Amino acid sequence: MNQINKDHGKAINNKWEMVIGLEIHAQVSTKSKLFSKASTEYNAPNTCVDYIDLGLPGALPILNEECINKAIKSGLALNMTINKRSEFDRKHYFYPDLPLGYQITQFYHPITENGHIPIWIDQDLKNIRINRIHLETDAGKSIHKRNKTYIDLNRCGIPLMEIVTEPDLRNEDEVATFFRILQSTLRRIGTCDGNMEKGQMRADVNISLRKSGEEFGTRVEIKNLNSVNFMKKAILFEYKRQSEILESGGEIVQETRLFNEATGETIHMRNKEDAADYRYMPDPDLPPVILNDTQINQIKDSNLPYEVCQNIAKLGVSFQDAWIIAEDPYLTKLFESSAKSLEKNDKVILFKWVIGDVISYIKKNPNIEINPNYLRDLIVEVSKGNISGKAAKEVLIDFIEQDISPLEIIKKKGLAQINSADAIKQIVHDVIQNCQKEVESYKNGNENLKQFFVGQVIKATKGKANPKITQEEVLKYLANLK
Amino acid sequence: MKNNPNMLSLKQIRELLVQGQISPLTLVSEMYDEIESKSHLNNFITLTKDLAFKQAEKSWEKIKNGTARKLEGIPIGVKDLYCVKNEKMTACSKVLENFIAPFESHVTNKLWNEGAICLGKLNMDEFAMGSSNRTSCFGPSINPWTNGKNLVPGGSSGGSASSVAAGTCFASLGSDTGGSVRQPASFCGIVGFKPSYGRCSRRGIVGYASSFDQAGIFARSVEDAAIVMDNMIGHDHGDVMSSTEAVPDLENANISLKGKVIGYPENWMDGLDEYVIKNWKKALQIFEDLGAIIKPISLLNFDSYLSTYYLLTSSEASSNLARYSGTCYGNKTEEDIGSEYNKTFALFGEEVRRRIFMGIHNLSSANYEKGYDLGLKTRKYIKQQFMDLFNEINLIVYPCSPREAFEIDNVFQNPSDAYHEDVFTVIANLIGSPAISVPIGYGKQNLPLGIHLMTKPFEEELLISSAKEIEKYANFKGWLENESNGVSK
Repeated sequence: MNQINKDHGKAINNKWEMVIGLEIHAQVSTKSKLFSKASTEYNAPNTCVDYIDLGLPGALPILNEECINKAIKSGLALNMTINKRSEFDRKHYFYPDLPLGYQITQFYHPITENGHIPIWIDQDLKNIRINRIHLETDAGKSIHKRNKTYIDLNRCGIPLMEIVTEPDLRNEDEVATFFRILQSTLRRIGTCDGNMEKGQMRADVNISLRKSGEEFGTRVEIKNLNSVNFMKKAILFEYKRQSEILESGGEIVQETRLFNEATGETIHMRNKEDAADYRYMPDPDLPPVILNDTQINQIKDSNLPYEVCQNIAKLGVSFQDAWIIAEDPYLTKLFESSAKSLEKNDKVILFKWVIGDVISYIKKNPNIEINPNYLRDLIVEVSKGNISGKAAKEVLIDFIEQDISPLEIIKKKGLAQINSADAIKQIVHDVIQNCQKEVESYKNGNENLKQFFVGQVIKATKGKANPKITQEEVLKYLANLK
Repeated sequence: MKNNPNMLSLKQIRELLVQGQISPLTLVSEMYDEIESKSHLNNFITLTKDLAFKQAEKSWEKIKNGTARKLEGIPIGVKDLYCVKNEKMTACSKVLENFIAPFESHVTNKLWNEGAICLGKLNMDEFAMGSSNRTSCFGPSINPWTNGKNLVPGGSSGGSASSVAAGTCFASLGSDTGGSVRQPASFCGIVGFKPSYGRCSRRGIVGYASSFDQAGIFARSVEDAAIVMDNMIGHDHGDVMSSTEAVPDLENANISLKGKVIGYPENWMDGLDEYVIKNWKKALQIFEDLGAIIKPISLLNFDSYLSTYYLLTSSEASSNLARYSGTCYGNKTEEDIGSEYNKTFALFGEEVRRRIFMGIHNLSSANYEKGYDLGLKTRKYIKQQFMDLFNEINLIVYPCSPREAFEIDNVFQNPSDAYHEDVFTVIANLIGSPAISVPIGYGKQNLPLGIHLMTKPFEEELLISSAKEIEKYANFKGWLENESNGVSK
């Protein structure tokens, strides 16, 4: 609440709490459609269409088993119960881009139910419950141009997972965080590519307002949002619209609204009473999906982004920073392999290096492979103080580009830090001997020259002298001068 | 006896063909003459001559090099709701008047692969909805049997039954959702056989009620029906509801009836026509004489089965027919009648529209619980009741229809009277059992009557064995036989 008011709530007082639930359509990443052999590729209109997608007489659906497996995998990743028996149902409505006259979905008995994933708000964790994931077919696309409607059936029959959350989300930031965690989880396990611009993921947002702790208010559904940014904008617009109605003593009407991307506003689409009677019925062309124990008791994918994030955060870093590594599979792998034999403190150093120099290097060189053992070796050297931070940056680039052990590079380039107090004492002596003018000035009370001498020593050693010891030795030497 | 090849049995013509005594090309040509001479029966609505002669030529090749397949050169007819590739497929509806099938149905594909020849597409009730073939947009098919007036052949596969009875093909494909093969077989005095649900793939057959629809075969003898059916059954990955049960050899089915328990629903005898009862008893006597044990059983009132059947099939039909919206394909009326979809809807015949309305009503959220869902529960109960019964009974025997064929002009007082044509046949579809109608005798007007035999699902071998016995002892003469002896007509 505070967050919202701080950012956007000038005209809004803070007595309304948002209650938000999502229905997310995630395209199952498969080569062919849910019930036909037609390709799921993003292709020229009406080129990926099979008989059943056209609804030809005598055409029958054949279940693509891969979709079942991916739905199970997704269910496990979202901590859901996998149902041993699920069924496909027909949902009827007439629209030109739905040739069969019905969508095949799982209304009565979905394949998975009752799950949850964690999200974080600053440093707090919160579970968002997921009501169900069911499989269903997408409809085709109607394109309205110059008073004519064109139909593209490529999307017709594309497998979708509808992921329905409980109304556990409370503001647009939670929605965005949840959506991103979900998106990277599905991507990680390979069940949905999650490209929103290709329509592979989109969300319907259900939102109502209530006074904190009171019963849920009347909800409004905003259909078909295809970016996180639009979701946030639509939610904020609805908050403003609904709270103004409530403030002025009005009532919210249960309705479905559309988001206008150009204006950032939501507009009325239809009332509850206008919704079609979908005449749901079990699809008599398809037997129930009966799963065996092996399918149900599969091992859940480990190392899901939200788990990785929580593990990294245990190092004492923020969820937000940890997520930078957790959401990227390559960084996760690199971090985890490099961190394997490191102490906790060294892991923190590694973490900082990965989200700092390593990421900047990868951004410039996207397809680079980094040897995790070399990275670990470098971190150990840094941690022991065997090499300066500046030198380490140089070694990092060298070992990536030349594929040579950092230790060798340090040796070859003579980059090892001088940590011996005696050796530094000698260097300090030699350097200061050669700065008689400054020594005189110092003796005359110019205390500012202390750092000048330290700098001269570092310079003389090309940065290899341990700065801390150097500092100490310089001070000792100067003290003896007085 | 006239020496026309069309009068021979399918088995006999198969022998002549394989022995090279008749060329498939000649045979096809003669069959088309025969079809032409009986065109008043309005059975064939599309002749597939190009396809037939091409297939005949290939058959001739195969026969000559001694590689004849199982049905080599045998001309058959196909109900016009099977897709035959690149041929018209109308389901006898104005909605599909100009539809050309882009693919082949699984069943016809299997038959052509065994050398059968497609003469053409046969008349039927629109979208297989009807029991007298009078809902066809091509007009009614006519029964070759007559009482002086034109009689219905039954339905929905009326054209298929009439054409086999009249000798214009050796066998024909029908489809059976609630009796559409068995009832017309009874009316036309031939054999109509529907195997267990799932025995034949439904791929490429226009869907009416998916959980009831099953391919069926018409022939003039049980053996002929079995020969063709042997080449139709088998699992198809393209119909996920098709069965994976082991495939039987029906042509050679020969299970003894001795000691088998035959059940007959005694409580159904009340109020039935005396000829119908007489022929029912005749069938039971045949089994008893063969050493079977005849046992009265008690079934529910007909209406319980019939209501469940119509409740579920109308619902599934309303869903399956939703695709004929006139958007992707299909016709539209030119009349200005409101919204786009109504333009197609208006082309459906009255009976189809009635069933769609019933289905929509039964599926609507307000009625679902007391509609479709109740139907599902009742069906489950009925199934269980019969499966329990089949623990003690091997075969259930009763009349196929409560009456003989009726006149084409006979108008039902009430649409639901027409539904009572199916009282005896719907059970097999509700429980997925195989069932057959075999000619048993004649009714009051000397028109054929069939006896209906039914077993547990997937016991086709016993069913066909019993049907063979009925045929052997019934002393029934078909229309073709009578005609050649100058008896009928």
